[in-house]
Amino acid sequence: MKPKLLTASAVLFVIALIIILMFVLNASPHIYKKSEILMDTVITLTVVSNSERRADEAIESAFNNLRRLERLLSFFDAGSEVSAINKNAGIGAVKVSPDTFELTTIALEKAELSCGAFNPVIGPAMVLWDFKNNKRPADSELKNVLPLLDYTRIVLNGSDSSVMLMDKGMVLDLGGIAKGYAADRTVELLKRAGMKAGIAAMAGDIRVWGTRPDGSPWRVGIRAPRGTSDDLIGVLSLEDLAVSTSGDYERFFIEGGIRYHHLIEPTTGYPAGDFQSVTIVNPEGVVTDSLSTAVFVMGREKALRFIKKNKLMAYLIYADGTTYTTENLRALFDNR
Amino acid sequence: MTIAEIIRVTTLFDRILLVVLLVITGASIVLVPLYLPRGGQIMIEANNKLLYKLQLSDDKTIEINGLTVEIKAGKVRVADSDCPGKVCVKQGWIDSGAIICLPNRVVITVDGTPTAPKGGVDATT
Repeated sequence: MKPKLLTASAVLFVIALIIILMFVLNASPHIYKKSEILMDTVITLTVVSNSERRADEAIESAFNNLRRLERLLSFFDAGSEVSAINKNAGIGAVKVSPDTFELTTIALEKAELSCGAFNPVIGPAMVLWDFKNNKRPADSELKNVLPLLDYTRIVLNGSDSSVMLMDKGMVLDLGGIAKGYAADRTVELLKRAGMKAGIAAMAGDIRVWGTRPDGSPWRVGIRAPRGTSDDLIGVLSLEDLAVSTSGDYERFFIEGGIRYHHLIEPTTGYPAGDFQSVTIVNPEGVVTDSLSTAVFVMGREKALRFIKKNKLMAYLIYADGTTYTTENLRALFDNR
Repeated sequence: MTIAEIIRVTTLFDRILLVVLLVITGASIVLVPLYLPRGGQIMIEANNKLLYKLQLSDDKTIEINGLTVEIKAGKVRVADSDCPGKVCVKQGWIDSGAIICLPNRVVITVDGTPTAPKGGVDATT
């Protein structure tokens, strides 16, 4: 073989290899998305990845973990750990897995922080409201269950990782914080799987990390409470933050001109009336999920003091439709 | 022209060029599908079980869990549903993204290059 030809062929071969390598390494990152129905809601996971295969694997393992959490925490599944705790209310303590113990501990913390406005044992009052058949309970029925809504009667024992509800008839329902917790755990898992950016959206409880592939922040719309599910009232630009909204439009019925919705005030058993919706932004999903509900049921004056004291980022829509955005959220918020 | 003739009339450089082109072609066949998103595949799941894997080009109508799913001219929609809100029906035709019916637990996903996000947002709270 002539030396010149050999050199030329070697150069050509190297160029070909470089082209292939560039193609592989610089494959531009794409957005991959998958939705499943879990935890009684639609969960959508979005990741940014150079590789479809790696994205698919990461999303699949995240959904497997969510199915595991659902089996532990479901209020409706008779085989869940939460159901075991409820069956043993007033009887005995139930040993639970680290996830259930951790989430119950956090739920109790948030209940204490919000002086009971977030209440993980509101179940007995909640079940009296029938939003499917638009039926409200009698005053006496509600009054009877109020003593069962005492979150200080939840006893946690760290030494054997057990939970006990002290009074018969008490009901633990982690539904008001489980989706925020699930978003936190999911983001952790997807980050460990090498996903540089994405969104874990447990319906309206959302946590984002990183940025969109073009480097801009993720855009999360806030629903307009009196519009259709597509109408937005504002858009948040978020990086590495969680957001939740509690609204009076999610489950409700209207009777005699009054809107009865699912955000129940624990001291009365009746829906709270001062807001149409409350949006909270915070690094942690457990905070946004639990405190959006807490702020909603506190009522206007208490809510504003609570937000200030805890330096929360919040967007409030009052019952009359006027709005308030806390100063620390204004840079991230765009009106529609 | 036989292979022997081809070998005789080509120069060494021709043959090397041929090999290089074959390497690029072979590598592309393997790597391109791995790194580029697929397009035009419809997945229909009910109760989180994958029941149908179809192409957007397959014109057909499917009845599943109380939903009538219609695929036509490269798009998919829920033509009818027995659920109360009918959010899935109102969504209309899509050629990327997903249609979800929560009451009937059906998820229809179109695997494709995502178009601009709906309403300019990536998620809604």
